[in-house]
Order: sequence, then structure tokens, then C-alpha cells
Amino acid sequence: MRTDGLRLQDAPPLAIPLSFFLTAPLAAMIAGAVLVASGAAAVTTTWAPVTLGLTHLGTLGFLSMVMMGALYQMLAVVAGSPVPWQRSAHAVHALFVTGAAALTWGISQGVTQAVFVAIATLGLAFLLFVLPVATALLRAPARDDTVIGMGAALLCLLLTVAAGTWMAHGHGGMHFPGPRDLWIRVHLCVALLGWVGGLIIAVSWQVLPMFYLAREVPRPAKRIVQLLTTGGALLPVVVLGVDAFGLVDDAQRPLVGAAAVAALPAVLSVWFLHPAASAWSLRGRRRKRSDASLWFWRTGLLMAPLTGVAAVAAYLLPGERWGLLFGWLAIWGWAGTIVHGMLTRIVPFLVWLHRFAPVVGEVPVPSVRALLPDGRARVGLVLHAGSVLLGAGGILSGSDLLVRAAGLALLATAGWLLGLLLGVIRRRP
Amino acid sequence: MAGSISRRARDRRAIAVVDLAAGCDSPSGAREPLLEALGDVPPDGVLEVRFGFDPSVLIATLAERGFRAEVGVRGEAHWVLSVRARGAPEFLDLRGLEAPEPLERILEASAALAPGAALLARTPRLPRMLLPQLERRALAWEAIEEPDGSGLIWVQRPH
Repeated sequence: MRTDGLRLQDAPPLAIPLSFFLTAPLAAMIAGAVLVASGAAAVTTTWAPVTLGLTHLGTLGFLSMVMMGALYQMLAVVAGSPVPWQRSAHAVHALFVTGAAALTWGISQGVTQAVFVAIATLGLAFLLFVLPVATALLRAPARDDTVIGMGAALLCLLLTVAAGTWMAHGHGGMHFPGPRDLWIRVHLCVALLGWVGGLIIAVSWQVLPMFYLAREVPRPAKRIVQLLTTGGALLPVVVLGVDAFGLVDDAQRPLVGAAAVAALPAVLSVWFLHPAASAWSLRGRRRKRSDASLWFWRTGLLMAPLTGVAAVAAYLLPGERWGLLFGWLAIWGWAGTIVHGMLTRIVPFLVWLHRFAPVVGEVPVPSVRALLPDGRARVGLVLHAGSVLLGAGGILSGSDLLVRAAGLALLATAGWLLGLLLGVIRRRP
Repeated sequence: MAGSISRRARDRRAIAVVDLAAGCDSPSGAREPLLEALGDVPPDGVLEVRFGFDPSVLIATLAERGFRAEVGVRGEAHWVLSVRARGAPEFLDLRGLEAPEPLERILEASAALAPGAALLARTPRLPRMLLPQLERRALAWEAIEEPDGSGLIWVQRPH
């Protein structure tokens, strides 16, 4: 029997996760403002600079921002292994914000100096992030599905950053590393399926039973989902390597089709199998109360198969709209909805734990749920779902009005979320 | 055991665990080792005896000797007989509550403990974030993770 419980100093200071969590809504607000300003021009082609900028505001500024902050916190709680060198998290945050801002500005406005600032700052930020987090994962006493999944997601993040950094040189006026279509698809697979999908899946194995008393997904099912996700995210990287090193005839290159087929196991796993397993898990909840964060999960899981269908459509059907719809649904519909919901659950808990738990029994303290009333979080869900629908409608119809309305709804959603989080953070005993 | 985490609060453990799952396959075979283990029942804690079969028929034997006992299922083919002395605290069963409510309830209950008094709580999972909070309050505590991932926690306010 071990005797090494968590020590107070092991849990990260409140400022670390909060700095990431509070920055994320700001990025989403900027994305909304850009959509309002650009209108349909932002959703005409996946290659448009403004579209690339918006994409990275969503993936780096919103999704990865929250996921990185959450990893600092969750490794201590769910894996029992705190992230070492905690103070470096402040540097990671500063570098990451600078890099994400520089990258989106640089590629959307064609400012090469900004792109090179992004390459340097993001590279350093990810290095300072990955090393301590990987150390914590290696030190974790348990090797359960969540820890294994987090490790696989971290590996995919590294590959995403490596491919992204290489491609960013192309935006900085240097040579693109290879066939653009192939590189972008591989970057997208390993980022969305391996990093974002892998982490959402790994975290869901812990969070759904913990926060909603959902029944445990059987271990063999978890293993299959993990294997397909990681395999499907990494196989396209192998295809890229085969192409890059000229291991096939020139006539067969670039291997765009092979990369897409290689990703199919992950597409199946992340956007179809995992939502089905999670729905099964949630149907067996031991407590039937449904709060807003659970509805966020349900909505996000419902968006997952739609995202998968859009991904297949984007590959098979002609026209840019399917690729744009896929990106919108993946970033803001599926992952964005789940991440938004988790913020409304985690931030009140952390604030309560750090500020109110120490004085329980000494002064009257509110419950965790009282810090962020459920009704206000539900307003956020309605705004979020509305923005997703407006954006999808705008992309499919090409309506400038709908796209600007989606931007406005995105701005309102993120602003509402930021207001909610600030309201929680202001609470003190 | 899926995993465990514990802190020795004093010389004698407040949560004692005896595993009879491997050595005994029937209530009659378990009777003798169970009676031997009764010497380990903490006065204000709990002795958890693990079986590979339903040990409910042994409860009457324990009651005859002045112990309170209850059987719980902790996963597939994992039964636990929880044995307490007469003066031990009741279980606070928080397994039906979502995180972080078990943590809130245990902190509230532990704040109300008189010096020397203890509480026992069952939680849906091992509430790792609770443990530093108990230390911060200078409370003695022990915690284990059950084979099904649920938690068992003992907290005492020292004299």
C-alpha cells in the first residue's frame, strides 16, 4: 500500500489553469469579430489567409489553450502525478499567447516577420509544455486508459507542432516542405484526430463517470477506441514520410488519397465509436440530474458524427463548402462545445477548492454549483448551438448575412462565457 | 486492488484490509481466517475483508461476537465484508453524488467533528483533491481505493 498522497504544493496554483482558461474565450471573441468583419469572404475557400487565421484562432487560441491548461490541472487529479517545474507554465502561457496571436496575424495578413515570431515562440512554448507534462505522465503511478490516452495525445501534439512549424516556413516566404495538400491533410489528421480527439477521449473516460456518475465503458472498448484513434492519427504521418523520402514512384505521388484512407480508423473511432460509447455510458448514469455541462457533452457528442460525415463529404465531394463545413463543425461544433461545457464545470470547482474549501466550517461558504448558476451556463449552450447552426448555414448557403450573424453569435457566446468565468473568479469567502 | 493511497495517521491503521479472495472459496473455509482477522478491527475504523464469493452468511457470526458487518460488491466477483466495532462511526455513503459533492460533504462533516471523533465515508472515486485539504486542517486521515475504483476514507480530528 502506497503512502504518497497528493501534497498541497503538488496541485498547481489557481493562476496556472485560470490563465489558460480565461484567454481561450478571448480568442473565440476575436474569431467572432473577424467573421463579422469578413462575412462570406472568410468561408469561401479553405486556402484563404483569413480562413487559415480563423482556423488557428480556434485550434490554438481556444481548443489547445484550454486543453493545455486542463492538462496542468488534471494530471495531478486524475493521474496522481503533478506536472513538475510548475512555474514554467506562466512562461508557456505567455509564449503561447504571443505565438498564437503572431501566427494568426501573420498568415491572415501575409506578414512574414509575424510568422517567424510565431515559429520561435510557439516552438519554445510547446517544448516547455511537453517536457514537464511528459515527465508527469511517465511518473504517473497508474497506467490506465486515461494516462495512456494522454500520452498518445501528447505525441500527436508534438507531431502537429513539428509539421505546423515546417509548413509555417512556407507562410514566412520560404519553401513549403512538400506537396501542400498532403502536408495540410496530415497536419489536420494528427492535430484534430490525435491531439484534440485523443485528449477528449482520454479525459472522457475519467470525467463522465466522475462528474455525471456515468457507467464505465468496458476496458476492451476503451482499448479499441484508443488503438484506432492513435493508429489512424499516426498512419498519415507514415504516409507523409513515405512520400517525403520518395519511397514510391513519382507517378503515385503525392499520396493524398493514401493519407486519407490511413486516417479512416481514427475518423471512425473519434467521430462515431467514441460518441456511441459515451452515449451508452451516459445512458447508465446512476444520478439522473442533467446540468448544463452534461448538455454541452451531449451536444458535442451529437456533433461528432456530423463532423465525421462532413469529413468524408469534404474528401469525396467537389466544392470547398464541405471542407469549410467540416472545419467549422470540428472546431466549434464538436470539440468547441465539449470544451466550453467543461469550462463551466471545472472553473467553479477550482475556485471553490482553492478559495472556499479551506474555510469550510469556519464561515458560511456557497456550494460549487452556486458559484456558476446552471441557468446562466444553459444560456451559453443556447448561444453556442445557435452560433454553430448559423455558421453551418452560412457556409452551406454562402450567405454573407448568415456568416456575419454566426460571427456575432460566436462573439456573444465567447463573451458570455468570459463573463461567467470572471463572475466565478471574483467570488471570495 | 485497483490501487490504493493511504497515510498513516497514527500507530494503528484505521482502515485495515485483509484479502481472503485467493485463499478461501467458501464461507466455511473463510470462517477461521476471518475470526483470526477480528483482532485487527480498529476501534474507530473499519476492517475490510475481501472475498471471491458472497460472504453474507458470515454476518451473523460477527454479530455474535459484537461486531457490525455489511457486505458490498466492489466489482465483478469482488465482495467486501466491512467489519466495525460497536463504537465505530457510521458510514457516510456518498457514492451516489457527482464530483465534487463528496468532497464538499466530507469537508463539512469533518469541520463538525469533535476532538477525538472520526468519520468514515464511501465515495464514488478516490477524491485525491480532498486529501491535501484534510492535511491543511491538521486532520488525521486514511484512504483506500477499492477494486471497483470507489473510495473509502476515514477522518479524525486529533485530541
